[in-house]
Amino acid sequence: MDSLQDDQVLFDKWMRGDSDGFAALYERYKNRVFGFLVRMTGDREIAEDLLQDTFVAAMRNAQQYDRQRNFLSWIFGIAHKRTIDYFRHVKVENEHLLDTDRSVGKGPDQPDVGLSNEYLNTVINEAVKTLEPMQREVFLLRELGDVAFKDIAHIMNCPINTALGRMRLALKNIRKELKKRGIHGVQ
Amino acid sequence: MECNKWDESGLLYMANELSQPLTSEFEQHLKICQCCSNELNQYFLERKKYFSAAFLCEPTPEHLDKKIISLCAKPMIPTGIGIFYLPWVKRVLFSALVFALGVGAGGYFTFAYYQSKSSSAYAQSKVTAPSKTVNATATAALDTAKKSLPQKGEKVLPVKPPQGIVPVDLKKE
Repeated sequence: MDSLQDDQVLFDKWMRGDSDGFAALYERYKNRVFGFLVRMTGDREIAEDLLQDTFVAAMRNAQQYDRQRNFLSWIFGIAHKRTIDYFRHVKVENEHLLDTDRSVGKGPDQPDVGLSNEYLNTVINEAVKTLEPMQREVFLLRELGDVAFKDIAHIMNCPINTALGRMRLALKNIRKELKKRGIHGVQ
Repeated sequence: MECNKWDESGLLYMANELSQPLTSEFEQHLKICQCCSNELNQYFLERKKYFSAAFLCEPTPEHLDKKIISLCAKPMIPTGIGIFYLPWVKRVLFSALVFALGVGAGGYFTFAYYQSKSSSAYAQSKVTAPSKTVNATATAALDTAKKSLPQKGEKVLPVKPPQGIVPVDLKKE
């Protein structure tokens, strides 16, 4: 049974009122969705609230779930909407953009001699943080959510070529940032 | 130098979103284009090494997990009436409800309209139509008055003054 079918089975269990169905789906995807929200908002506490909002919204709108679609894409679509609502609500989008611009201008950090996982984690997260919000979102939806580009285009309400363009720019900028921090490509 | 083919198809190829003919075409291109081949390898290794769940995922706090599971894992659909949650049943029931409400509202307003119309006509008839007694008295009075009037061709006699009263000719005066 592949992951998609498995998700459908768990979703159906959840719909029938079996709490194990939801618990299994939540366990499977919570860290990815939370990673997305933390990186989009830059604040763990806000991301915690948004994670709760995302799953509560999923529960409320479960009848609207299109079974032809990937469950994770659907959840990421809801998480995207919650994030947009959050930025709209607190009107911090401009500050968010300014923060990004400021961090892009940072000088290169000195890399550790051995690239430990902890160091890599920090560097990659710093690199992701420097991306413009739209590029960051496409990158995270694709890499964290494994969301198809046609679904990303649908979620972000843009043409698929725009989503692809943002992804290309995101990869280019991440590579540039990694290079700045002493990671020169993949050997 | 970058090859345009990577921009067109590379990311979609990696995401398995290219159609079968385009996938074959791109795979043929990869055999001859070093630029696209390098780009593909680099992205593949980056995904494996850097863009993995280990780096991009975030562990959720335990208290939040408990809270979300308790909020969302409750049975969403009462099993006894689960059938009513099927989309087509819901649509049919909703349509029937709207229809019934429409018919009910239409019927109510039509009934109210006709009722108000008939009651106002009744009230009006009550005000204008005299009672039978009043009507008979009025007819008798009218007959008497008609009788007292001179008939056609009847000579009208001058009114005699009562005794003791002498008429005065005002012209002579």
